[in-house]
Amino acid sequence: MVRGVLLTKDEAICLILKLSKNGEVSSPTKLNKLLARLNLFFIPIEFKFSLNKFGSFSADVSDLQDNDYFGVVPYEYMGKITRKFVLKPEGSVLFAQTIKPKIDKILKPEEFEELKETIQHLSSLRAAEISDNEHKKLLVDIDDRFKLAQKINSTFVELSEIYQKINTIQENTIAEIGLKALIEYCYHLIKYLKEKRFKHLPEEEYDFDAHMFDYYFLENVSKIIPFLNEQISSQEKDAIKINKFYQYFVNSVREEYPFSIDNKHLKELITC
Amino acid sequence: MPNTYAFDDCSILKLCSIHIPVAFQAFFHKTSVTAKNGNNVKALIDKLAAAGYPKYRFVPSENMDGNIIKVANQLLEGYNIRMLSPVFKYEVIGQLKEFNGRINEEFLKINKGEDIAEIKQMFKQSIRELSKQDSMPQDDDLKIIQGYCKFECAGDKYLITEDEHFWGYADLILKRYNIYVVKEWECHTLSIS
Repeated sequence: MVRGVLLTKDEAICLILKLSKNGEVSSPTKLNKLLARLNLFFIPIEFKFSLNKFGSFSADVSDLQDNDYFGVVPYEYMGKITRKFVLKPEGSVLFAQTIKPKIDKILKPEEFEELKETIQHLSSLRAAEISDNEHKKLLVDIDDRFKLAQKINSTFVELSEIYQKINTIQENTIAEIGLKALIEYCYHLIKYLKEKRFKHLPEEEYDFDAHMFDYYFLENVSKIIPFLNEQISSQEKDAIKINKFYQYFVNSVREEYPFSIDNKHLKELITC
Repeated sequence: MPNTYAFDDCSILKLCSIHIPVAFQAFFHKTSVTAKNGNNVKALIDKLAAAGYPKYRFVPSENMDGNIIKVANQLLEGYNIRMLSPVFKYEVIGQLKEFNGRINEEFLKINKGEDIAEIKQMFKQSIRELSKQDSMPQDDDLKIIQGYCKFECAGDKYLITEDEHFWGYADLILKRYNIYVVKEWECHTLSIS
């Protein structure tokens, strides 16, 4: 923990390149989209994303330079110069020695296979197609505002029911303490999203002030509700999955995102 | 003749200085927190290092998760964390786990014993009333005593621990097994020889 599974920028890029077709990604936009997709696999990475009309966007990707782990290679495509990203042998070593052990702490082998298939598939699509797919999942489009409001309300209601049972969880094992921590954190996070971030969404324009983590967190919390329900009543807790979800929600963001344990004013967001 | 200094797992975990995430610092008025007696254990470790003495722990660690939870609970005693307290506890546990992974290799190892039937019988016959709910040392405690007893050492053997299952029977353990039990909170006063 202590950010133990957070992937650095180089690590996140090498992971994407390793899982992509031929170890390369053909443009910064596409790399951006693929990196963003790691969020939907609950993999915390150092890249921060904001929302633009093409979906999630990280300014950091534009500034990437050739380094020991991956090459940034200019090439001409339809009369324009663009850049592709290519994994270097040192990047493969980084993957084997550092990235995979981190991933193994949070993904089971079958989940890693699913990630691999998804990235391989998405890397063969155009950036706009990846973006469409992401928009639909996260409900960032203006046309989906109603669905977004429904999603935040239903997630909050379901989570509130789970939260009411939190005191029935013992604290005899690390997994039990982790489950309590996860539920507590998710409950207050969704309450914050509902009461602050998504409260006054205009219906006619994109939420350009949004932090993409508002959307990733809502989507991901809604996805784990069945798991939380099952874990509360289960005798055997799934320590790996609990830790994976916890690490993602708590460690993906730092002081730049208001709901973070690195924000000294977090208490004000929780008691409000 | 050099003495041997061995630490139980909880005492080793107390060497960990816990970084307090910014959001929780208001409840502590500091940026890091160390377990009670942690500074005493560290003082002894520093003395050993200065004298060029190795430090020992017992293997295998069968109840490391339990020990981590125990030390985490001790660390939080006396603090009133009025926000996301399970989250803070899980963060502490995470740091202790990482610390344990790092510190492992810094200690030489003493194998715990396996055949504890005889030693168990001895404790059963000498059972004492302790402040703990269970006055009988646990099997893992007995494995430590047996393993340490078998461990070859020309000098004296010291066991640094906070566990009453050891110090509550200190005189008996010294008499029967030739092991000096040192209470964790007094360990910094030991003279190294």
